[in-house]
Amino acid sequence: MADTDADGFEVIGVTPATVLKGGTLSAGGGLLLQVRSAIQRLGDGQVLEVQSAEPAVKEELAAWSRLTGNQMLADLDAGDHTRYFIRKGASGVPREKPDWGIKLPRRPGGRLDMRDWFVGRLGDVPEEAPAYLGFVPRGAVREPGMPEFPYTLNRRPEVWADNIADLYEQATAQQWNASTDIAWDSLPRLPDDVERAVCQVMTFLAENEYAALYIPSRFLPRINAQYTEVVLFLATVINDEARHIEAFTKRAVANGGGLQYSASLTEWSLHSLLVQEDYFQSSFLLHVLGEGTFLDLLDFLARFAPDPVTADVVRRARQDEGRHVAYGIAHVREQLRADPTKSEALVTAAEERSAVLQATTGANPMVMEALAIISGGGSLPEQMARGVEAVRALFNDMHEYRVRRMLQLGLDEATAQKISRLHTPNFM
Amino acid sequence: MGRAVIVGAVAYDPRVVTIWEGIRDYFHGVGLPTDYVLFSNYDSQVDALLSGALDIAWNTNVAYARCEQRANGGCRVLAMRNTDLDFRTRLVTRKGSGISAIGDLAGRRLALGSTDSAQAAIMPLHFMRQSGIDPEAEVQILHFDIDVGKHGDTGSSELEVLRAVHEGRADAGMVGHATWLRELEMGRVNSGVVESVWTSPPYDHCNFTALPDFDPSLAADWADALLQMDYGDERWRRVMDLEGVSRWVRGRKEGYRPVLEALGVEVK
Ligand SMILES: [Fe+2]
Ligand SMILES: [Fe+2]
Repeated sequence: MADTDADGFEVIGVTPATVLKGGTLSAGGGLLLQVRSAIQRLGDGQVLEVQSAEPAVKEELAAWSRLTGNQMLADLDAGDHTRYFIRKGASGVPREKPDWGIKLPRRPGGRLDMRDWFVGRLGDVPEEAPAYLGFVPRGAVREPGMPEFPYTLNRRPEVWADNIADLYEQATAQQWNASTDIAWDSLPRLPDDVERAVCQVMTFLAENEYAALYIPSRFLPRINAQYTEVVLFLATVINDEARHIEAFTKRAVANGGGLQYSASLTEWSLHSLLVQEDYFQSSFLLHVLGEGTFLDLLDFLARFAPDPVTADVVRRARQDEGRHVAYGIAHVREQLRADPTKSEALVTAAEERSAVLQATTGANPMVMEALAIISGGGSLPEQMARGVEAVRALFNDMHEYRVRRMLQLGLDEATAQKISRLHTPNFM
Repeated sequence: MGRAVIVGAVAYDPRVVTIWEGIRDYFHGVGLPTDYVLFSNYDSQVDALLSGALDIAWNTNVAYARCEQRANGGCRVLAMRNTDLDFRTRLVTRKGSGISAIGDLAGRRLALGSTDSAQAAIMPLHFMRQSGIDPEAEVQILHFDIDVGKHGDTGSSELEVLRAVHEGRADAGMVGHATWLRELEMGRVNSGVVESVWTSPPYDHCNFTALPDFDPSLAADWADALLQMDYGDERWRRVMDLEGVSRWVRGRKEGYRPVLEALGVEVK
């Protein structure tokens, strides 16, 4: 029961483009469905031959053809079956053909890698994609007359990054499990002041991770699904952030401490990030400045962590954040390359965010103290002094690396310096 | 361009609003301002057309016949869907019921759709009478009166007919060929139990009806414009799919003769 290519025989002046062998299949037993699909694959005016040994099919095929705007040309007795010839009516639609015959290469170990799927229709990432493409998988042949989807990001440069497929493959390869991959059993008992500092920092980290989860979640449904690699990558980001919230929360409650204080300053800072409506500006603020700064903070914590378990948690989170920052840099850089004047929008975004925090002291003292205790090894005077020094160095590093990342985007030194200073009171 | 052409349609389903918003946009685009009025049933729509409140009515064949009756056969049929031409009724039976033609229905249980549905009630009764059967006296009729006033446009009564035959509550049933073929194609007919044994002669289904006094050149322009609606055009594809049309065709009156006859409408 399959379509076969006609072997070129001529009947009543028409050559069928396709032959459908129906055997004794009844009209309602699947034959009409097969006929519809076969007709759909034809071009306007082409002819389908249906062979059927089932007499009742005749009436149904004729009526079906009439109702569907196709034309039953003739039926011919062929002994043990009848041959029906149906001409496809004018559908008015130039029929695209789906891909066929593509076989992706395998990488060593049998890997089927996203980086290799940019072939055929699937590989054709459009510069611009109409919102009515909805959830049609890129490369599939669509019918006309589909509804508009509520996408607002319908142009490739608005969302794309040239390393997006690499990042996606890295993301799926580097997933981890916060329940079982961390050696929670080996968490040593810590002095109260150090444990409290760790718990305070974990509280702060989890708080920031919520922003990192909610922001891409807001933008994902606005991205045209034709840019599927971006959508899938953001889904991994969202999952990463969920795991970070989980892991940091778990660390806070794993060792006899608990979640500590949240400062309104932090909430104002994160709120100003969340309400950003422009994806370009948001991407820059979150992935480049925010998560970039977070990388340095996580590095700092990995270095000074009082125990290997805490160090492992922040190191794993840091690896994930590296991908998020890499996406942000590539994505923002691509847009700045296309339109260097867009750098003004980045300054504006940083200024707007900075204005929100202007009335405040500019840093969360609970977190500052906790970072000093962790890096100083405790809360004794000499430990605090050492710790405060390390935190000062951290802030210098964070500024320096923010500037460096912005230079990578193609921003000039002065603009980068300006934006980085504006960002200072915000970690994320 | 003068005032908008007012077209009536029956809201047999919420999607009718989508259809007519689309058709209004279409006519606006071609410079023939058109507006629509929705009715809950065809009787009101026919009244509105006859009273002059409508220029054109999107009628079922039954509603059209009522218009002809009151306009003494002078109505104009402006346009139709390709699927309205040569509509047919199917006689479907339970396999092994011994019914193979309409003449075998005497003494049997026959399921029919809504009383005002041409394809599932009016025409079936007419064809039975033509075959010499008095349906009221000789046939045990099981009527599914659902959405009366909408002339079977919802198709739900026809689905009930098919269900009754499947379940053995009726020996046979009569439905329009569109419903039959759709159910058949979707695999919802159990071919081991139910089969189609007879197809009626053709009769036409819906049309755009105008009264004799509607400006003939405007009528022609309007119909011409409608016929240009392109199924391949993104903008109209959805509207046409919802309306069940892939091509609008010019109206013809002769296809309605069997329906007028069935309803006892005599026109000059
Ligand atoms: Fe994170
Ligand atoms: Fe992140």
